[in-house]
Amino acid sequence: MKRRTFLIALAAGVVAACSWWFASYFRNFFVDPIARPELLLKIMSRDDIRAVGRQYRKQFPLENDKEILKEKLQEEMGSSPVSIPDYEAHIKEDFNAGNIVIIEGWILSVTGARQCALFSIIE
Amino acid sequence: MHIDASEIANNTVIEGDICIVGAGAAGLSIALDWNNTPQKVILLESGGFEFDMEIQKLNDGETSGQKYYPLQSSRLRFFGGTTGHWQGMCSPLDPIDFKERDYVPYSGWPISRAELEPFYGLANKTLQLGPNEYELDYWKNEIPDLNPFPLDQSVIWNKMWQKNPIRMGQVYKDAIVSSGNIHLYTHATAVNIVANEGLSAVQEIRLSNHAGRKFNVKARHFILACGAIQNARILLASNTQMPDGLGNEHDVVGRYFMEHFEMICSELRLFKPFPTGLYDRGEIKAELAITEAAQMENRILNGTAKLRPLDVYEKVEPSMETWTDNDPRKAMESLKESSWLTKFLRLKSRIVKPDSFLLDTRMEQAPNPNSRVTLSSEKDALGVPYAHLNWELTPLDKRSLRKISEIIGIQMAKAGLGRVKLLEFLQDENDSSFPENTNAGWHHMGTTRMSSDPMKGVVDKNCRVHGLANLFVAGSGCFTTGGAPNPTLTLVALSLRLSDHLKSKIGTKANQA
Repeated sequence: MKRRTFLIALAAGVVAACSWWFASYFRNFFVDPIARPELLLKIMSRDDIRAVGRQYRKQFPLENDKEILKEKLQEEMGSSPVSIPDYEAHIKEDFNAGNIVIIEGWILSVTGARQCALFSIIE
Repeated sequence: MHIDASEIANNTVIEGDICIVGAGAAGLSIALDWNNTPQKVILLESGGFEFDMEIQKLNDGETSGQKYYPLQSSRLRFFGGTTGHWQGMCSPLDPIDFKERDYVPYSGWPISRAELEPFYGLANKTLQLGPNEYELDYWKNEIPDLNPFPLDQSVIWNKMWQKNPIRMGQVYKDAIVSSGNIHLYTHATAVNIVANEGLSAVQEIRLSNHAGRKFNVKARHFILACGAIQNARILLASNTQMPDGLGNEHDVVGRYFMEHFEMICSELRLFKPFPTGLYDRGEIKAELAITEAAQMENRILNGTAKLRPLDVYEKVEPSMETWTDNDPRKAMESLKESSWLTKFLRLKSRIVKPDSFLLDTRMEQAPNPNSRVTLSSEKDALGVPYAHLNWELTPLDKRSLRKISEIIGIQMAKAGLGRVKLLEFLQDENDSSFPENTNAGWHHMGTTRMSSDPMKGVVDKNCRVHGLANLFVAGSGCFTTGGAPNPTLTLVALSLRLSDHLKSKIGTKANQA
């Protein structure tokens, strides 16, 4: 009996660990690209991104709302649904057009900063 | 020929054609240029051939305003001057540095970069640097792995540097001492400059030393080459005939003191490491510089940024906090890395290319008449009032520091390379104040600035003091604006230009031909 209990517990543990890893690893895939500042995730921690997002909402209180942020991000893209590469291209266009904000010292595109703001609400 | 003035008879009068006061980078460059000429050159050095703390104390002084390094340890007072411990970083000024910019008050040299160009070549030789080449294309041919960031070249360019920390006192001692026409006097400190009766020319310089000897030098031409603070100090202290000091009829001597900002202003995070050998090399390397057009468009001062691996430098304290000792030898120790962790991280950054950097900004300071050297009420051991430095910065300085990081940040983003984060002290664009640990490069400039107008400058375009026919100033004190690079290469070039001017004036060029 003891051996059986041990094996069941071990199997449960393995399943739990795999589920946690799976959920962590793939969670980005389940998040709407609109709320995923993919480039910034390469160089900033999630906490830093949340902090930037919160600060953006503080600096632009009229955008301190999930639906408004979604709407603005979708408006910018012109059509939906959109992919992460579409956003990356749009962010580059933002920089070329001078649509830039400085939040917490980070020099960001407006689109990137809005993504952070939405990320900070959703995540 | 070398004479130790500690052993000279009191009231000796030394006579020569040219008297150079100071045997640092500027004075030695000029003296060497006159070696083996028919002219008798008197080269005066306050110190000896080695460091002496008692003589070093003559550099002491007070500071006010923005926190500054102890004056006593910010320059060396012995043969070879501050080249005795400099880092040897060299790059020329840019053409824009010489131009009048409507948004930079008091900018505009009376000479152009092109007029200085031939002397940069000579200065390169004096400082034993490589070829007089500061274009990336040249060095890419020489060193194939130099790979610049793919940035918009109309905004950012790669400013090249050469490095050779030549100790001029050691390298050129034999040439000077064995010279037939250069008479080097060590332990000879200028304490007073005396003009003729009409106050139109210098008649003699009075000297003294710790051995109690007092003596005079008479010459046809005098060149002050003691460094920007000491040149201003001796002019101001020579006030027996003119109460405000010699050459100071318009109250300009000592004003417009400038430094170079050397400050970590932002972080650069790359999306992935970029294979480049350009920004992290030893003797030849580049810094990210802002083009003339971008400077004009943004109305900012000239500056560059060097890349420092983040993990190596994030814990390094600013020099303004660590360089606190009056003894330059001890102060220098504070710059040396002692932590094994720092050494390890530096080694690691050479093997594993980093993707995070600190942008260490090197920038000129806007000329400011209130940033100035005056005389202290305290006197040194030889009876000369100490210098008092009031270092004062302006909102244009702060805005330019911020804007340089912003421009680099935008260009990095446009190129898809990464993002830049401004450090906290630059985040509020309405804040013009500077943190107490604002770092400077130990570069003293501007106190005897060059201008064609005696109301705006101490020396004319040939480095002659306005109103005095035979008194010249050599060194970075003559800079009208500071540019971004360290000043030594330019001050040597400017000194050699002054030397050339004197040769034309005296006729040596014709004699030599």
